Amino acid sequence: MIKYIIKRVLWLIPTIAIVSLIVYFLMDLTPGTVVDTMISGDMSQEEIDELYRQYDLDKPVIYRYGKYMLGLLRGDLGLSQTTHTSIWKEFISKFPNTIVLSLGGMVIACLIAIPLGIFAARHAGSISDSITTGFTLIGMSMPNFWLGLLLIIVFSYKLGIFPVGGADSFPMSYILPAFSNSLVMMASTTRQTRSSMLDNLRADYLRTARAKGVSERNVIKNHALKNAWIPIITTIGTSLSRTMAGSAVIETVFSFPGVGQLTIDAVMRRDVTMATGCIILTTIIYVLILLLVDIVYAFVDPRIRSQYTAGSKRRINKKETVSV
Amino acid sequence: MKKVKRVLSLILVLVMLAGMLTACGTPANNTPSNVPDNGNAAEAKYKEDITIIMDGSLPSLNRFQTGVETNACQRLNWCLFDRLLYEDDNGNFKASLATDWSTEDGLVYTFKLRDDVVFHNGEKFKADDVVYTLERARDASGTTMNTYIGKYIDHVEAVGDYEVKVYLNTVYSGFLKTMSIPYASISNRKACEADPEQGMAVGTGPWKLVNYVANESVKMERNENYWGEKPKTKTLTWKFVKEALSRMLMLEKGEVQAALGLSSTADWPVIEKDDRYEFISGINGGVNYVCFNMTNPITSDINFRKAVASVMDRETYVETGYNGYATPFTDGAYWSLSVPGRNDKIPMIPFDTAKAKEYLAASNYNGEEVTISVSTTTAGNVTVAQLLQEALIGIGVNAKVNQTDASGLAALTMYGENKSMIVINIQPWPLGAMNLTAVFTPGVADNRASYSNDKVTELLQKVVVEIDDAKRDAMFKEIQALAAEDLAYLPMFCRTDGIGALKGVGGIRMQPSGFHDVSYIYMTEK
Repeated sequence: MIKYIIKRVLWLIPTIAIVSLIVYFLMDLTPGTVVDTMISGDMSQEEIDELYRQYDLDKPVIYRYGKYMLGLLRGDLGLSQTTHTSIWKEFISKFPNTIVLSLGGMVIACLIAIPLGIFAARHAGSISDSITTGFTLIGMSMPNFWLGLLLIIVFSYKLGIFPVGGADSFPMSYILPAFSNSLVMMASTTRQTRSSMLDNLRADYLRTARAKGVSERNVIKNHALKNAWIPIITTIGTSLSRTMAGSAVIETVFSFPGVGQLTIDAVMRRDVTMATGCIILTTIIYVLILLLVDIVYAFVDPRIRSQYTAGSKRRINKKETVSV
Repeated sequence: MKKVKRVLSLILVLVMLAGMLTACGTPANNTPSNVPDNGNAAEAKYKEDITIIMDGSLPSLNRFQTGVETNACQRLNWCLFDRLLYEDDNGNFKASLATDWSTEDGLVYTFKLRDDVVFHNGEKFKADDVVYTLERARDASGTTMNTYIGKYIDHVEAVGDYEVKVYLNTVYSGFLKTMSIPYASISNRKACEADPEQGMAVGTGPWKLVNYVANESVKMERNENYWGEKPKTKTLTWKFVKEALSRMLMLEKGEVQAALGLSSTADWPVIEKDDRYEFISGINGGVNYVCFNMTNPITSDINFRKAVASVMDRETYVETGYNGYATPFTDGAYWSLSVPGRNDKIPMIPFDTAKAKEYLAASNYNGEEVTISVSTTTAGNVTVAQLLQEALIGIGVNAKVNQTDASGLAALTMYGENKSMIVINIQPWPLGAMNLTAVFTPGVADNRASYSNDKVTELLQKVVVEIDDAKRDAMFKEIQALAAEDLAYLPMFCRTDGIGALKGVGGIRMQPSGFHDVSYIYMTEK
């Protein structure tokens, strides 16, 4: 298991290299540079050229990328090209807000989606099932920023329950953004739960369990749900990664100071080092979340756990055979 | 039956929960409780804490570095700092940190300084702080501060503690103006050298910095030791919110007392009509213009430019693009409407589609695609671009709109590599008359038309060093006339800048530069 985790972590290295290459070159292809955001109307061409030299923009992109990667190899993400502050410090100062938003969204999504999915599966074909399916369709189709604006109008403006934006007060400032963030995850998790549960509810072993007198509640909880977890966990894991990476829209709507907004601002200002640094860090988090999902599989499903340990057992057995 | 009971119980629980949530929240309050009663003539009382919501950003307190000189930065400079001079609404320079100033040759300026001013950290304001600030501006290459102020300075000398001599490297007729703008705010040497970040916020101004979170918020408290008039408000908080709807909702809820960056189409009409609010407005000195790439074979043709000029309907652009919140130009002079010295004898090419077709037929245009490039930063200008596109299609020009952001537009119109054709843009005028040089001087960033006229260039070089006001005025008028003949730039209008505020708010000084001075904001209470 440890070896498996180490292997997955090591895969991060080529992943980061590829991501940084793509981001850096894409930013370079975008019209305009960081210097263009700083030029004031009265600057002469010499002054502009001096600015270009300051930011190595007179050198080819491969030189700049190489310089950036050398710094990255030393663990240095560098400084923002616009604010000249440490990218790591800026990211870390905003990251807790994004993680709370994403985890909050996940908790809200799971609390609603899993029971709803189970309910829909148990009443498959009924009106409640149709309503649930309709809800998931709306949830997956509705843009979350639109929902965010709607929530602001109703709950912040009309009812005055929550603040309009910002992250000044915990937990009130976090509830509406987390809820908006959770919508797509809620919808996709509901569908997945319903689908997994349906597959399992029809299984023979459940018929056996019922025949043995196990209560319906225990049949669902201890038998069907346990076997349905794997695809549900996958959905939650990938949705969580996606909400973390895609929180920029929600952060903008709610003026929530998170990593998403930081990245968008960097892209708009053509701050290549900040944008690349934020995307690299987000990629690392994305990969680590998927790794966590894989580890959770092992806890949930003994068959998968044995696969992770099977490799080492086979090698031990081989050694014993050889020594014999 | 059991099932029905369960469902009913669930509904009851949900209703109770909803009731609790509604009860827990603050009640909806569209009418702020601190709106003064108009009928009560009691002694004015002022709200102690004011919060202002803004768009834009404040990425750093270190204003001597590139990339941080946003509008918000300049507004902050009004609050935290003073400058040597102060320019009143009539364009006259008044004493501020300097009590007196003089120059004999326009190369050396002598300023006598106040001796009763103290910085926020308790240090006395002295000539050495002026030396430090201005020489730092000189050395801060790549910053707007350097472009506007620093590049003209050779060195600065302290003569004792309360007199300073500024030696320019060339005569610069706009120098006194630059000493009055927020970029020329005076910092404390000791504070800046001790803490390059927080030390940058130590000034002599009416406000002291209490807390700052980059791009999120600024909190200030009144400087009780201020040498000048103290603000009526005790604490001032700024919040930066990107979403325009959120800004308006916060104002409507009474969470904030004033809001900048509201929408001129959606929000300003509401604020103007509603008695709960004040609408504080002023003209923005920036010139919204159409310009032509003078190195492009199609747009460099004078007949093509005349054809475009003949289909420009400025009133419609103002009504449709800016909801009427702009002042259209009525003559052909490229000159900000907020700056004295306009040559109002220059006629404008009148709107005439028949004439436009004649000009087009006389030009070398043969149906090629013509792009109108516009920055999406200003939504109103995107609408103007679309209206112009329609008008040009109407006379037979194959016009397309190319929307890009500010960086993209800058890259597109780079002098020497100008790839644009028609551009719609705004030129800010924070330096007043001197800003004209930026648009017409070859090789300068704001010369988006890649315009070059030897006579104009010669006059621009003379006007910068001419310290006689009347002669300088005459030269500016001549430049306007010459430029109008070339038609490289077609001025359209100057926008209105507006701030929405709750009833009772006052003390905001609107600036044509957009760096509105909120340092004396107050709100009267019952």
